[in-house]
Amino acid sequence: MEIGYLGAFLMGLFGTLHCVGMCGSIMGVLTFSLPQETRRHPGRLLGYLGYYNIGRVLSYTLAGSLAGAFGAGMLLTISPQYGHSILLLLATFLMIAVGFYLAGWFPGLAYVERAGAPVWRKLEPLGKKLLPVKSPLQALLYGLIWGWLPCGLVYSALFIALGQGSPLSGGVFMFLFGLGTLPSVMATGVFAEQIMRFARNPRMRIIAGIALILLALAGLIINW
Amino acid sequence: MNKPDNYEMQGNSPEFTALLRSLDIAAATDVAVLLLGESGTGKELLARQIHRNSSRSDAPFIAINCAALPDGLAESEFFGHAKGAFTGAVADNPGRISQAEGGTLFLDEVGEMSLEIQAKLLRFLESGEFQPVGSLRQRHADVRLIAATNADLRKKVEQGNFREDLYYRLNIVPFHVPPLRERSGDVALLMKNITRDLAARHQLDPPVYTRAAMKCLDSYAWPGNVRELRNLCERMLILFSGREIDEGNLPREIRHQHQSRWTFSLPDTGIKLEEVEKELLQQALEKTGGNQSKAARILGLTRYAFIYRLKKYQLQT
Repeated sequence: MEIGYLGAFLMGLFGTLHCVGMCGSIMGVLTFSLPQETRRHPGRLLGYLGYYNIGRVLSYTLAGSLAGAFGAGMLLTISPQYGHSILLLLATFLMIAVGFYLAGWFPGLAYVERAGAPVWRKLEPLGKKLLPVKSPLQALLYGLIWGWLPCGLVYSALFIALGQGSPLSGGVFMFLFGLGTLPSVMATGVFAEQIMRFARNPRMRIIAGIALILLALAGLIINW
Repeated sequence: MNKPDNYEMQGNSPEFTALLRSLDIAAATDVAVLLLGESGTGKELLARQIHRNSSRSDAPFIAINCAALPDGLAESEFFGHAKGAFTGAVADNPGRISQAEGGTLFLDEVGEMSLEIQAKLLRFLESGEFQPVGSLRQRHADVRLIAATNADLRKKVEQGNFREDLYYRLNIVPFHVPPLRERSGDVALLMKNITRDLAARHQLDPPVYTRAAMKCLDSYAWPGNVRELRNLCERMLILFSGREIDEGNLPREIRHQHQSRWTFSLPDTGIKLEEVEKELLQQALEKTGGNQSKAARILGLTRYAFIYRLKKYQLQT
């Protein structure tokens, strides 16, 4: 596994500490709005949580592929010789910025999420029509829409996916990022309060931020 | 023009917009919501917005401030009473829960309810049934519950002041409403909007805040949140209409926020200074997990001076 892919997974894993703090209640709402008989069966409940999140990760993957394709075009346009190095530097810089953001030292990065607000305004009414979710298909479709919810962290990951050089690599990068977000987002559905309290702990966020900064620097050294 | 009591709903900060988006999703469901946040952060307005965006929007939104209900009247207020149930009950009263039928019941300051009412509310939340005071008939109501509090409900449970089963029933989906100090960039935006609206209402020229004044306002903790900000804007507008406001013109508590964060009044019975000093040294060590350099810093001492005092009081060698 390349350090970039490991970075994507860890970025998702650590990054959700912040996302859960910001939007963690969404998973709680989606879980507790399911019919009571579904919630009573742990297997069925887990299945629904899985569908929501498969949809979300698929949207990330699609967005990553688009970013990868766009980035590949950019790479050729900028400079076939140095394009990769430029994008690698950009990706490292962004991952460091995300590390600072997670640690709470650079809150301004959250403003990146405004870029996606127009898309969300169009998708949100569609999402509302799917609520309350009553079937696995609805859960999957809602997850697909949820994946486009404006989020500074997801957009930063997408910028990094730009530098992956191809639609496939961009898609894989965002897929792994999405996988990284799964543990805490899924757990939030059931243990909302506990996970949110953990995610709000400044010490945890600093540790996650520093880990990501170190990972970005290691990636730069290895791939340069 | 915005109504003065709607400023709590304005904001562009990522922290606040993320909350609004999450609440929009919650509104499309029928899940019970718990809004956690300090006073003045707009919890009731957010609850009203959830109701407006929900499928129950055509039915009533009934708000109850649990802190304002006298113990004797609370049960009747919630569940209603039958005529003649007690002295003064000259007519049937349907109660707030019945009034909210099909709509949303908003319980503000939910942590302030008496244990007796908590037990009855829990029963209603679990079965949808309740019994008006002085009536033998069970009634049923279909309401969506939104609760809000600025108290630490978990602590209240530990202290025995809040029922654990009700806590878990209410705390299904908690939403943290960020205080103004955590909403990056919203102080400047709200000041601009509030000052503009109030200037138009009072027919006064708005004042101009200097960069230093804005910096000071931005770093202030705003314990009263948007309500406090609005009051400040009105005060400054009246005092400095059409003029420039510098840091020195701001109220003392905002100007001196960094110099004096706390005040200490000497009790009439006096104190033992050495004991206070010893206590502060211990607290500083506890707060910093035993790190002497950090503990010294938060007491405004050098590490050497701090260690000297530790030895003096034989606290740590």
